[in-house]
Amino acid sequence: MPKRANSFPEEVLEYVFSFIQTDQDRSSISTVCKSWYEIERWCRRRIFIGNCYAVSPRMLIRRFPDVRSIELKGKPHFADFNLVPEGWGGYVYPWIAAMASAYPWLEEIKLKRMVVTDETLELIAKSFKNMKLLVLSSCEGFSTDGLAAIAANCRNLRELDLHESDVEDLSGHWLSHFPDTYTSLVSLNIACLGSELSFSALERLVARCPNLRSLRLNRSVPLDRLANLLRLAPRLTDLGTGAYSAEWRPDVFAILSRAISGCKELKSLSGFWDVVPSYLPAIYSICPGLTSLNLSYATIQSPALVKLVSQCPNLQRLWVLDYIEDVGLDALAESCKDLRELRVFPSDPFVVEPNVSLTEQGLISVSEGCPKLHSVLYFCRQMSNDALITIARNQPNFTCFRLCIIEPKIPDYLTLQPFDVGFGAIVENCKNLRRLSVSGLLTDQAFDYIGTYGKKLEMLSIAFAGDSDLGLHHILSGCDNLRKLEIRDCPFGDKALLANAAKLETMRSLWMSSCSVSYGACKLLGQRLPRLNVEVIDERGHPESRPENSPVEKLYIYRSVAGPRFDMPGFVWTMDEDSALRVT
Amino acid sequence: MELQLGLALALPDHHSPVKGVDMNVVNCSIEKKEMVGLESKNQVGNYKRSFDVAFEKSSSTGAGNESKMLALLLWNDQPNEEDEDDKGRKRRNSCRSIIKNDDGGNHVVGWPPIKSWRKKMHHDHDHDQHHQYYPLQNNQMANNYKENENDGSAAAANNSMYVKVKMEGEGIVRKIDINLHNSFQMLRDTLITMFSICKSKEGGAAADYILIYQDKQGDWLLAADVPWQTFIESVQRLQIVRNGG
Repeated sequence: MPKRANSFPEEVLEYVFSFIQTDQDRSSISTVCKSWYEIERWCRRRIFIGNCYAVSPRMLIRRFPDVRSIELKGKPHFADFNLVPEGWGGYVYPWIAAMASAYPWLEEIKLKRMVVTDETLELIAKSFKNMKLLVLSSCEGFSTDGLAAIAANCRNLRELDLHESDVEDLSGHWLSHFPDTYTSLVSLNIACLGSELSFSALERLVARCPNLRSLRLNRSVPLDRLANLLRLAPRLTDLGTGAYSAEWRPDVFAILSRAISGCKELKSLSGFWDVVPSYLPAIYSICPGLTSLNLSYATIQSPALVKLVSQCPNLQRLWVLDYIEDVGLDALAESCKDLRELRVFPSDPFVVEPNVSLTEQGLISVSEGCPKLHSVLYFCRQMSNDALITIARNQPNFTCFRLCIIEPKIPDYLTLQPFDVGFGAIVENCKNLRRLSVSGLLTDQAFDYIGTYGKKLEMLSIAFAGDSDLGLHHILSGCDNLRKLEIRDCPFGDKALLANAAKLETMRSLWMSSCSVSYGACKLLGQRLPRLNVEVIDERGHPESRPENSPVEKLYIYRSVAGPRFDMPGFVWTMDEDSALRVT
Repeated sequence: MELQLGLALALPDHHSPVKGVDMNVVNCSIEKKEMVGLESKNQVGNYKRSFDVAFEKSSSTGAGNESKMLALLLWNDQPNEEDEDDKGRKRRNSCRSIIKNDDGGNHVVGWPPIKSWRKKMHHDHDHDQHHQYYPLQNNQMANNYKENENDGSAAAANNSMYVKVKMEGEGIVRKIDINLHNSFQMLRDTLITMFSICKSKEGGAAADYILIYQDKQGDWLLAADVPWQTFIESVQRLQIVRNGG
């Protein structure tokens, strides 16, 4: 090894490394030579682990002795749609227990889709004196008692974000556990909590935290309390209202308007449950400054929505229900030229007949009128290949394109053809596409296009599509940068998986449910590829009780250097060398 | 990326963690069009490992075994639908995520893909609890799935009803869909499976635990004391407690 690498003192190298922040770059540095590996591992402060089972706490701690910020993700994405049975896994406690002794100076914990218990939260509260940021996104398993422990003990907490977690709401009094001496709150997101909060505790908290910039309330906070809170926190940049409804009273309206207009730095609004439309104008004064608006719980009709978005010329992100309709999206395309991200959710997803006039036309309008639009999630009931081709031509800069045509397997409503060429146009034109969700009737040809053109694609979601293994083969052999693939209810089986088995080691994970992958193929994959965990999830009992060629219910394959996990419930089995011998 | 953590550790003298050999070119007979596409990837030098390398490491037997493995992995350009029909329709059956309901309609779990939390918000607002699943309308789809009627999947009502289940001594509260069950025995079996990993350390048998539930009035009652129908109409949450204290 040439001495050159060591000609700088370590401190200098460490200083240089501190400018290099991304995980990929830091990984690259660490592979240059042994001494750089050593220096880098001692000064790495931020860790991102996209799959908590890919590596073990012990391995993490052994390599990185002084971590200050950790982000962990647990369950696969399809858990959001109830496809992952309860009890599957994703427990964070072992991580916290290990880090409690290894990383006493830990400042940030971000968790997504993990099971967090009150015991875990108590341990966090007790072990990390410098805890500043706690984000529990789509997590579950804890109650307001655990939150009380956090509130009581984390003196340096700046951010507490419970984004869409499922919290057992035992009482609203946990807020009063923040001591009177606690003043460091910067961001609080409790929108997901179901029960009534202690309003006086909330007001006192807001009053004594001068740095509060983000406050997302839950539905229980009534409109008439909002004005008070806003007066106490005029420097808010992000507000999530509680229920946006009250009996119409002009004086209440006037007070609310004044309070909102006093928050001159507001950039982001959300909440808006149970909206009473006559109160909407209260926010008009700050609309010109808004960059982000989440109206996806607001059951307001198109005219009110049009009036609102027309006053937000600087809007970059809009989440809205399909009540906006095509006419509202036309207005959006006219007014919001800076729009970057649009999500349109279905107001009545479980009926077949459309309840609103939202079609492919709305998406065409925004793709045409909003030059910076790069991320879309769109639920609709009809689509055509022509529309998709037009959209792709209008907006080649899509990085994320998720289309959900609500009825599975329906074709182009104009030609009755599958959507192969439509999605083909999307992947061909949008050269920077990183995330794609497809829907509607699709043949293997669609996947041929995706494999051929989707070279930058990192995440792909497929449902009720394809004809045969060829479809899956196109994806696995074509998409060079694929990291996450999730598939449900497709006729994909053993062949494509086995022919592309090595590809699986280059991806974070593969989820397949209600497909045609046999138990035998799962065993083979698990036995031959030791760096993959091949998990069979089957609530019908041990797969050994059925023929080898019988398909498994669900399959989750992910690469791991930690080996098979030991916290599996009775309906999950890891396929490895011993799987043939193992009995339930 | 997470794998790089371990690989860098294991192979300190490599600049890139894995060799960029494309196994498809080596092992598979595929259409020329695809081969061209695949070859060009070698220049990029990405993480693909050759099958040979992966299999050599773990294979302990001789060439006979390896050729059997390769045969499983060769991609042939035969479409598989027609082939498998001959091998018996059983092979093509897969487990569909369908829940049958009494009136003969079929519904789909987790479709459309809307986060459970968002659905919950809608349903709290909307008093129409009638649908929680997307109904299958397309006859084609229904026909494909008819073969699976003998699967033994439980007939279920239109809506799912998730209730929380807490086991005494366990921190984790689980949720189960009551409407997927039609008897106390079935419910008991599900709960035993669900909590089995917790129970093993206590070493208790199923008989040591009793099931209680909280009804609409907030009272806690013994589950087995009432008829099943009464139970599912009034259960709000469940608890598993030790028998005899």
